[in-house]
Amino acid sequence: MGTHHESVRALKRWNMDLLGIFINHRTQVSHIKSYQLNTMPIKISNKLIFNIVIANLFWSFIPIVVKGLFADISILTVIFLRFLTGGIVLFLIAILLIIINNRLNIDKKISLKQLFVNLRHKNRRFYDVRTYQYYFLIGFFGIILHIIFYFLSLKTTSIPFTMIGSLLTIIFIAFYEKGVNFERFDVFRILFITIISFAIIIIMFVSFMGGQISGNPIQVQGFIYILLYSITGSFLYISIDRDSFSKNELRDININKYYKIPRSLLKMAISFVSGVLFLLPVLLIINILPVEMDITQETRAFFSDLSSIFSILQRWEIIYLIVFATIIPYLLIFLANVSWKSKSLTYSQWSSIIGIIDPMNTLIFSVILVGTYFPSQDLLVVIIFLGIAIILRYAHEVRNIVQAVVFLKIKKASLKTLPIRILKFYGVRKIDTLIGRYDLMLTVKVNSFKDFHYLINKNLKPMNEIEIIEPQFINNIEI
Amino acid sequence: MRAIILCKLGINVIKKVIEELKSIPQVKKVMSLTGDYDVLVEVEVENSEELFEIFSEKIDMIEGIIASNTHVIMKAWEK
Repeated sequence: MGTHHESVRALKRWNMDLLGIFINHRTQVSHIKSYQLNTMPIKISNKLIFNIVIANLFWSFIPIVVKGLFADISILTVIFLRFLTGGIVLFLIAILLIIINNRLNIDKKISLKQLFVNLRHKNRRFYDVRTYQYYFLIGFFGIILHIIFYFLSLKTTSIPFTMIGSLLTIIFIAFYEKGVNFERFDVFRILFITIISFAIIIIMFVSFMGGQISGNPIQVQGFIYILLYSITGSFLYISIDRDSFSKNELRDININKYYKIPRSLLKMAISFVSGVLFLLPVLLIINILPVEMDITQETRAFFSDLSSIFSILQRWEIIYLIVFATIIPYLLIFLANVSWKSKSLTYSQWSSIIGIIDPMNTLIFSVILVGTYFPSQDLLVVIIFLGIAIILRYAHEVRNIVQAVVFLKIKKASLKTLPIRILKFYGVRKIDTLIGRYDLMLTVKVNSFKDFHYLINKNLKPMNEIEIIEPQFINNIEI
Repeated sequence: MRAIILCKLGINVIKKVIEELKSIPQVKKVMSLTGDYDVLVEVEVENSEELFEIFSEKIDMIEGIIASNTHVIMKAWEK
């Protein structure tokens, strides 16, 4: 028994040391207690937020690191090496974590076979495609194409101009959420979009001036790449969090909550590797097409780079991309996602708020480290604008969250199977089985009343086993 | 063991009741609600005897709580 507890503690400590966060349950509860939703302070009560901040910091160095690479290496070679190697390493880490867990944590084993079987599960939140197909779609269209347009924009324009793409993505997503989720545009959201738009105008103006001064004026295709970069980026953002768990997986998560880490690592590994492998036949087709474009030249350069692929792999920029821009950030954000305990905003809400840090830091670092043209007074204005945008986004997200507890009275003999079926529904975070007037208490957190309405009327009401549904909205969590 | 107590309150007493509930060490969570009930209290106790003591000696004595409904939590599922 003692050995088992030691092992569990050792595993926790190992996780902690690896990713630099504190998992101890009691500590998390205590700092959550210090958070008061009603006073709405911008008080960071969840240490895991720093995981997202650090991941974004690593990502913000990417343009600075890769800009120098593009002179002698194809952007496609960089993408191929980053995502193939990164995907393989993430896959190996997932397997290693499962092996370590299964050795140290005998009561809470994770089945590798089951993990692969679950890839065939239909994703109800993403057009009913199989999970492995969903991974491929986000891998190729959301990651590989997205990064291709990002790098093409970086190569043909400038670092500040490319950052417009990141900001445009934020605006596209805001309009998507309004159109699809019927999310209302409150004053914070309108101000947020206005301020981001002003930041875009300033960056665009300065980039044009910089282009004239350096003798490399911004071309029309630069706009097209930025637009394509923003569209694929919006697709990635909208679809990346649309996982649906199978019943078996929900059981596994409730046995061992760290099941989600190898699952997430496997998701990214499959997305990266399948996206990169699908790129190869696409490049072969581009190579034989009679049309001459930027991508055609990159494709030719990619095939000639293949002969020296191992020496390219040893370049520090590629190592940075694989280790610090892929493996470490993804480990950090998956661990944050798994252990997320914030009583106010969800992980994805915080992630979208902090996402603004990435273009902001890239601008600052490109000016400081590589001397990109950007007058300091303009840079200061853009930083202030983006800083205000972060605060406005936070205020909007806090105002829009819908939290509720839903009490259910259910029919006889359905307690064993019903909770796991209900837990699959979007927005249901936790289910407590009760003895008393009600049988189940669902803890629900969604981003809009539309989502809440869908859960009650489309998901719960059609279930024959449910006799009474009693929703109670949470006004405030006092402790 | 954990239990939840759903409380209906009188008028203009919510702040006072919440403060009194928060002062009980076994109370782990207090949420103010909109619906049939006004407050949800989650308590963590060693056994049913302690639950009885907490309820009868502390929670049930708070002025402003006009009705309550107690549930014992058996198992929790999370994702």
